[in-house]
Amino acid sequence: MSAPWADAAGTPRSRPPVGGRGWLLAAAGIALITATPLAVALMSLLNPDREVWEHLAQHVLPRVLVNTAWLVVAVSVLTGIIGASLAWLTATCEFPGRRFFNWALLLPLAVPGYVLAFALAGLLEYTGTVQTAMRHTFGDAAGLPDIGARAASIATLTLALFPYVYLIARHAFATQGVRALEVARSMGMSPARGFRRVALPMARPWIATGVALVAMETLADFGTVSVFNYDTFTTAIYQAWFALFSLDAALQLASVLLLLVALAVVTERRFRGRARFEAVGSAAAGQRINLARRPALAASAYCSVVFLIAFLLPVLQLLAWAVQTYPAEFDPRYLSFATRSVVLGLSAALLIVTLAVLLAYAVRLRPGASTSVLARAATLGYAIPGAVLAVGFFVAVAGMGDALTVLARWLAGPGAAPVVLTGTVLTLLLAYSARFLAVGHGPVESAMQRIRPSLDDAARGMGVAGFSLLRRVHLPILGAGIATAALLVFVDVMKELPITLMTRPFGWDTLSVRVFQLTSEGHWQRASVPALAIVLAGLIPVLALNRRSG
Amino acid sequence: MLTIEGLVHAYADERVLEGIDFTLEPGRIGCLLGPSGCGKTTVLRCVAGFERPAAGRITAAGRQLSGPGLHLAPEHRHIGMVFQDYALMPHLDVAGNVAFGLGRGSRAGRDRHAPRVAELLALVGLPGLERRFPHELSGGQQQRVALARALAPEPALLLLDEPFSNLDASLRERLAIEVRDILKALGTTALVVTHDHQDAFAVADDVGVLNAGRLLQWDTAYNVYHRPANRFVAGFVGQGVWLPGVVRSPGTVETAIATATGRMTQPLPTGTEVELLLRPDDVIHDDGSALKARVVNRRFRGPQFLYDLVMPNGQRLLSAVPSHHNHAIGEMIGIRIETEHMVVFPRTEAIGGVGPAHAIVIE
Repeated sequence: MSAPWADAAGTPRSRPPVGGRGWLLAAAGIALITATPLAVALMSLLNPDREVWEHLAQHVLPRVLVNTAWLVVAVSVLTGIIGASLAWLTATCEFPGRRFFNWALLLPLAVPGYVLAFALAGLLEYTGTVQTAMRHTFGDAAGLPDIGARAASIATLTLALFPYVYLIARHAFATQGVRALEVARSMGMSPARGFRRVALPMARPWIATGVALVAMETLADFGTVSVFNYDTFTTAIYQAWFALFSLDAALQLASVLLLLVALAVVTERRFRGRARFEAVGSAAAGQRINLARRPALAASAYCSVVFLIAFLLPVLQLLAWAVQTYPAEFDPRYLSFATRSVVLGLSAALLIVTLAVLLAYAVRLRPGASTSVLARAATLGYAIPGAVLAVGFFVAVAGMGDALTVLARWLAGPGAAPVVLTGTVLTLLLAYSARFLAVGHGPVESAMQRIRPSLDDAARGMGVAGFSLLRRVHLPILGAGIATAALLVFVDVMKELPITLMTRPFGWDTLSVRVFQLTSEGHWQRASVPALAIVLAGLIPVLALNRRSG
Repeated sequence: MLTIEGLVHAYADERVLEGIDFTLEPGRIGCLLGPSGCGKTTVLRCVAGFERPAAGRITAAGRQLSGPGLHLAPEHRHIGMVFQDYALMPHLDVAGNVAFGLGRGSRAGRDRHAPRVAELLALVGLPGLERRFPHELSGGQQQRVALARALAPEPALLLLDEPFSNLDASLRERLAIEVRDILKALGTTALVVTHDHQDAFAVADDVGVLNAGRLLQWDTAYNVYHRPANRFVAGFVGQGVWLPGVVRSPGTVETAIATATGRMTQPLPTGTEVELLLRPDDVIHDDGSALKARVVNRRFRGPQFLYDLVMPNGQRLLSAVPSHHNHAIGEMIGIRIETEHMVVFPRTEAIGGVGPAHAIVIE
């Protein structure tokens, strides 16, 4: 007899759900947060305002589409090449400085694109540090060519985002280990050929995932392209909303951008193909390919150049500016910028971690297709650009306010004051939740996986149940995951720009908003002080990540 | 000590247990044996209280745990359990795990329970490992910690779910004997679940064989092997070959290859057509015997060879022979049939199409 609930050893595998219907409702409620802006965008896509649409189709869409396509394709290809090659070098080869670059190449993760953009521009523009030095040394004719907004945006986003591919591909190369390459060598392939025929194809699903993340981040980017005045969907949404004051146009653009995101997601699925995430053999560490002198020096030089341009030089530039401008620039206002950033980060972290824990328990206590679909839907928001979430939630929250106003007037008569929710932190927190729930859910979910059902049974068998079970078993095991989740969300919110900029309550300037305001007016030196604060916060999770994977 | 009456359990619409009855006397070690999915783990989980039976009564130490309108929560049963995956708390060290069921997990309790923890770790052969964490232990060590943890609150009854299935073969038997010695030294009543009859015989006093949600036999380990209640039990607890034969007199069965004598498992009238079970140890290698069989295959088992034999009439046999008798495949060897316990069933009970030259080999 083979029963569907029994595995080979005869242990019941999926038991009837123990949680009540409330858990299903909780999961549905959390998924509803992400579904709201999607529904708003979809409705606008299905009911286009003809006048608005014609204006956009004539004056905005062609340029924005071309610009966005260039950006996404170029940044994806370049980050794929740079990220995968660096990952392969540090994971499987031995060369001077490898151990340092192994973790140092993750440091650019701490620098948001909009900070890297103005730091690099400050370094390299005509009046910048590098060109001034060149003119000093070689005479007035010396200098760098002007590469234009498109190339500048592509280069900056590539340098800011390649660590995603690097991190994921490095894991792939390290775990597939030298074993796979040894198989190739035993069949008479040279190391280079083995890389092409074995290591690269095996790492392909990971590289594709990394590149897909980069493509989504590129589509979502608002700050970097703003610095270079390169018009993409996100800047067009901002322009339509805050320069033309047309929320309809912003919403139309947002819904088209959402289609592009969907396209990117589907493309990634297709490209990943049927390849599976599996390692061959165990990770045999230490057995690296010893590069000969010349290739080894070339590898060191390559890593150094990327590290210098993507992290060290920009950060040094920020430091230099900060030292110059700090006495004049720093005033009590900065305390309030920083306080708001921290308060927003903490409240978002608290809210999102709570939602993530509820979601993880819903899946645990009511296992089944419905909760797992809801959990996947709820964590879809990481793919939706902040600008889209900002518009979508603004419209939804405005609708909520109108509905409440109608209710209030029905209850208290026509004289009741209108309910206005749009200028509150509600929009902000909802949009943060949608965008960063996946970030918070990941660590909580993987901690939850460690609490096997038999742990609950074992504890109950020893008389430990109910709240005592939660305190003595669940919380200690979940604790580290919850802390990681809170830290990641906190830092992401500190760095976040488009949602904060577009939906913050009046006068609620944060560090990131301050950076945007100063850079859009060309005050790059002055922007260095808040930018450095953001970079410092961003370094915390990167260093923690390194310590764990090191 | 533990009494189970008419236990029925169902998941959704599917019945997993169809009325289980047995009694385990105080101080004895019982074992539920059966193939995957037969329901043996479900019985264990019903006793522990993790599953709610659809019908039936469970009584332990004079206290009713489950019955009509009654289902005591697992945390109130005072029953210890060792889980198949050990279920050690990953965030607690060995001492914390062993003391888990002793107190409320406070720091003061930790010091108070230290002597008891040390005593238990010494008992299971892991003295001094208090500060290790579960992931720093081998599978066998984790198993021992799980046992110490389950024994710590001095449970009235200890349940062990497939306790040896995650261990490699060389460790299984040694640990099974060790666990038996520990339980016997403490006088603990225990119920073990396993799918391996060797584990069952190594650890248990009483063995119950389950199939498809029914308990086919509940008896001493010796009787289950030598006096199986039916053909399924006979097949599940060891190897052998079914031989068609006829009862010639009480204690004598005539078959195509030889006449066997011994004590029959059930009294059957003369002339009854029967199936006789010949286990490998019933077929003795004897060079002086006139009965010859050809070796068609052989497996080296260390102290023994297990020979696959075929008789001139096509009948297959299994024979366990001390391994210094080294015969090549194809060789003819002498055998004699020595059946002290004759496991016989009337031929109407036969499973499958059994003809004279077509016997069923169970391995």
